Amino acid sequence: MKKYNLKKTNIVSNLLCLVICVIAMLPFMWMIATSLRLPVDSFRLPPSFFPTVFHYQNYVEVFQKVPLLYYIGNSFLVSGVATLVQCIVTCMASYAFARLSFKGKNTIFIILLSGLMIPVQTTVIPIFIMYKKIGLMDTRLGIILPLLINPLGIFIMKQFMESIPKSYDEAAKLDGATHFSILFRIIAPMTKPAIVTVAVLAFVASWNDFYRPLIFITSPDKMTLPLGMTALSGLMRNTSISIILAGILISSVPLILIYSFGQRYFVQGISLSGLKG
Amino acid sequence: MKKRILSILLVAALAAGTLFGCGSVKEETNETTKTIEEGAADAKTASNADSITNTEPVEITIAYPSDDGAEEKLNILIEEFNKSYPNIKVNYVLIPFSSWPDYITKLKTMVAGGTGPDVARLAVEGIQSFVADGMALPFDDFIAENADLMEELGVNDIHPNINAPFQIDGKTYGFAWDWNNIVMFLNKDVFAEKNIELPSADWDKDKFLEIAQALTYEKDGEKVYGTVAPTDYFTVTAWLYNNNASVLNEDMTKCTLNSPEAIETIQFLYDLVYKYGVAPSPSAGLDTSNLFMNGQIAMLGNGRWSIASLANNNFEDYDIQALPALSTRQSSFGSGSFPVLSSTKHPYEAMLFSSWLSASSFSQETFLKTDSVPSRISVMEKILPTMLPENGMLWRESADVAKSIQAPKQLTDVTAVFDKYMSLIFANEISVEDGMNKATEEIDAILAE
Amino acid sequence: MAGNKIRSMHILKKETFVAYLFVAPALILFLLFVGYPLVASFYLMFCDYNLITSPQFVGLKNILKFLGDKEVPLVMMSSLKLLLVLVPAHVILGLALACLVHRTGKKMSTAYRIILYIPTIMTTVSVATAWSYLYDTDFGVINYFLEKLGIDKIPWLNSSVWAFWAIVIFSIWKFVGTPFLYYYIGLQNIPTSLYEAAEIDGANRRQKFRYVTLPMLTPTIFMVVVLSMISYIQCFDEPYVLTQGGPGISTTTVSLYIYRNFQAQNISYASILSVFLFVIIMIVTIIQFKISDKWVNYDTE
Repeated sequence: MKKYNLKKTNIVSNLLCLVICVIAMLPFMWMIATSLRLPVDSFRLPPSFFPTVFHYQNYVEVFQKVPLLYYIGNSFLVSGVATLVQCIVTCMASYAFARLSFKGKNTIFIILLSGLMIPVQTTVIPIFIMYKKIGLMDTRLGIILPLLINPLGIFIMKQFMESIPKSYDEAAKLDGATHFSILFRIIAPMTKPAIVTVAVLAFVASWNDFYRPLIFITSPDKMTLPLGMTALSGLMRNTSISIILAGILISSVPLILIYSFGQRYFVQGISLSGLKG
Repeated sequence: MKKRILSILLVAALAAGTLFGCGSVKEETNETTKTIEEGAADAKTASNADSITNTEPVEITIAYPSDDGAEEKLNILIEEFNKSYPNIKVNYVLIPFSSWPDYITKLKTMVAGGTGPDVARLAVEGIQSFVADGMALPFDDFIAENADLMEELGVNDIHPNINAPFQIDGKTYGFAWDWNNIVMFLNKDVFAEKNIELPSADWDKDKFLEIAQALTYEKDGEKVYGTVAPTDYFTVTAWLYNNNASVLNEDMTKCTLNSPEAIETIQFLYDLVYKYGVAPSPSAGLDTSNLFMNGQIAMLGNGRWSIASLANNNFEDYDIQALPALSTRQSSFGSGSFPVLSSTKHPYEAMLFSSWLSASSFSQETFLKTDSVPSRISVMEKILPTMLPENGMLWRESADVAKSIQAPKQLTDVTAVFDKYMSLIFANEISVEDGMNKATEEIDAILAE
Repeated sequence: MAGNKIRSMHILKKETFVAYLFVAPALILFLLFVGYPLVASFYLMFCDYNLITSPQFVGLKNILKFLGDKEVPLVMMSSLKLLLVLVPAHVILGLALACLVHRTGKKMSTAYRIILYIPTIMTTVSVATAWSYLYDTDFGVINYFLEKLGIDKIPWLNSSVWAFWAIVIFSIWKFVGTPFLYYYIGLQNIPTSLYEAAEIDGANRRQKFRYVTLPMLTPTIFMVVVLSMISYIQCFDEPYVLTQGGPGISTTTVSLYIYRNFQAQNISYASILSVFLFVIIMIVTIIQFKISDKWVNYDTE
């Protein structure tokens, strides 16, 4: 009796989920199908959700219309460096909060966490003025630097690290290990789910960062993808949406790749960190 | 194992990034900005004498909007320029272009940040603002001292009417290179489908409406629209002029959008969408160019800049006609030039390059073939009859009588107010009259500041 | 004995030193790029600044302009409206989705989880650009299907009322993945022993939900509310791309208004607005934390 009920719920839930997933994916299907249409046909109705034409030249043309390779390269540079450095910085800080005791620990922790509350618009203008003075305007380094602070990442990693038994640390200390090596040789590998989660989220956030590049970057060859995409769609006068959509899809591929690699760690990374409570 | 893959990917990404990052990340140098007075003083002393004795290589930079194929064209132009002037090295900076106000803001940011160019592409939409801010250098001494050069380059062949916007307060700030206005592009296929003759130059509002209505129909479940209702400053100005109205008064000190003629014009455009149903709802994302080529729009008010994309798509079944007269016939235009910035360290070379770009036959005949309308009379008469559209000489004729669009130094703010109320009007949230009255109020406040 | 004490003090000192060392990078970066700009913004409020000259102190001029600006209340209303609709939508829909997916069995639920999070991963401005075509009144896909269903064309981006809903619908589609993920994980972490105990007490499905699931999820709900409020108060990308703040300024959020002022070179004015934004976020967050004691249950028993 119980088993039958469970199955029934399962089927209904599954059907509903299927429908919802299809609806969620519809815009993407439209984007793919339309990006493969001939530019003159891009606004033709009825719309297609499955490609019927395969005018792949659109994808080639995007590269000719805008310096897409620069955009992609810049995004990788910015996101890659930001993610790498941020992970190290976050790891170190989380370890200190999770494992070490020092004066002002809680205060500093709250200060860092309060960074979540400060909107990017408030910080951008003074940073703009600062960059002008020290010559960081229109540079990728200028975009990377603010991305290195991730309060949420610190929170997630700290929680996760706290759940690792201290016996490991003690054993290592007995062997005369410094905190540095405890962190990087023992704790960090064990924190892998949290680290990967934070890394993926950081990469995605850096990749999608739009406001700061919008304010700081003016040269096309320094633009990151989101900014480049708006420049592309700004060429509306002479470009068709098929080509713009092709550009958008190309720019999404790295994200999907990174996401598929890392998503299996999400559940572990976030749950053991106690984000739920 | 997986972590290793991830780190390998990250490293590969970084490597790829640095490849396209073109060297180190910290590459900006902070140039000291010359004060405006110093720049002006330099210009006064720049003379022919300088050029004769100056055989040292000089480097200048030009800022240009990054439009389709801009880089290619610039390379060709610079190469040709260097054949006559090999000691002037020209670098270029491409600025992403979505609208003139945006482009102008970016240009000003560059100058403020010390990375401003020597020469910048600028249209009438920005010149007043640059001159008012003291950012543009007058050419008068340069012209006086290089009269032969001017003749040689063909500066005197430039249509005086088209050149006028760059002569402000008795000083010249550059030479017009190109210009554009709004004409009605006609899709011949759609006209043929409904057996309607292309309109003649003297068509009026009623005839226009008649044709638009006849050309709005449904074909195989797909809607064809007779025309498009414009909402942007440039295009709407053209319609206003044709009704004896304008955005601002003659000396650009007051807004005249609340005049009965102006309100009547906007009402007419509004009615195209909501009363007569011959135009689709205006939307920023609307791909009017492709819709036109696809036969989904029959008549499209556009500038000569669009013929490039028409050619790229091998679309040839079109022609142009002047906009229909509402209560009168007065064509508008906007021209573009290459003003020299006061922050330049090489005023002579910059002005030389600017003049060459604006006036030389190479520049006008190659570059402008499929872009805007060339400003030189002889070039217009040479090129226009040989290219599509058939009625191309219409542009040459209108140059004699066209009136420049109004671009005061506060154009950015004025356009913002204009766009705001146009969008509200077309969203049916304010009546045309109320919208225009409110816009006038706000624009007057801006002009008074 | 004394030796031990000195040694442990030495270790403590060394530990403190190492701790500060470890925290230093994060703290320095924070102070440079968050702390200092925040304080500087407060100072800039009292200055006049355009791109060409250095900031000059002008006292209350900007603050008076801010208080007299008729557009500020309108912009605040836009932001508020979005908040009032989107935050509950995320809280509730995220939960509903998570519960639904939770029921679908282990294999399928992983697949659904992956798919439903994809929109969230995408670059907002890119997909918003695509959606602005979908929303086109005469040539858009959405209206095409509405017409097939016999509904009149909706002026999605051409009307203040509908532009709001256009942003809402897009935001939900794009961002519901985040609360969904948090809830999903939260659900997974509720020990089944609790459910079994409830069953023994004769609870049916609805009661199980009300007395076990919900209370155990309150920390997650709290987290979702706080984070989505912070995120939506700063809502920028969607209106920027979809509606450009229009028609008029009906969908201009506070952050878009800040940007418009920045574009128009009213930089010092933009500073005031951004400080204002921060103050709002702070007040809202603090209030939430204060109230949280009343309803959030951190009991892990």
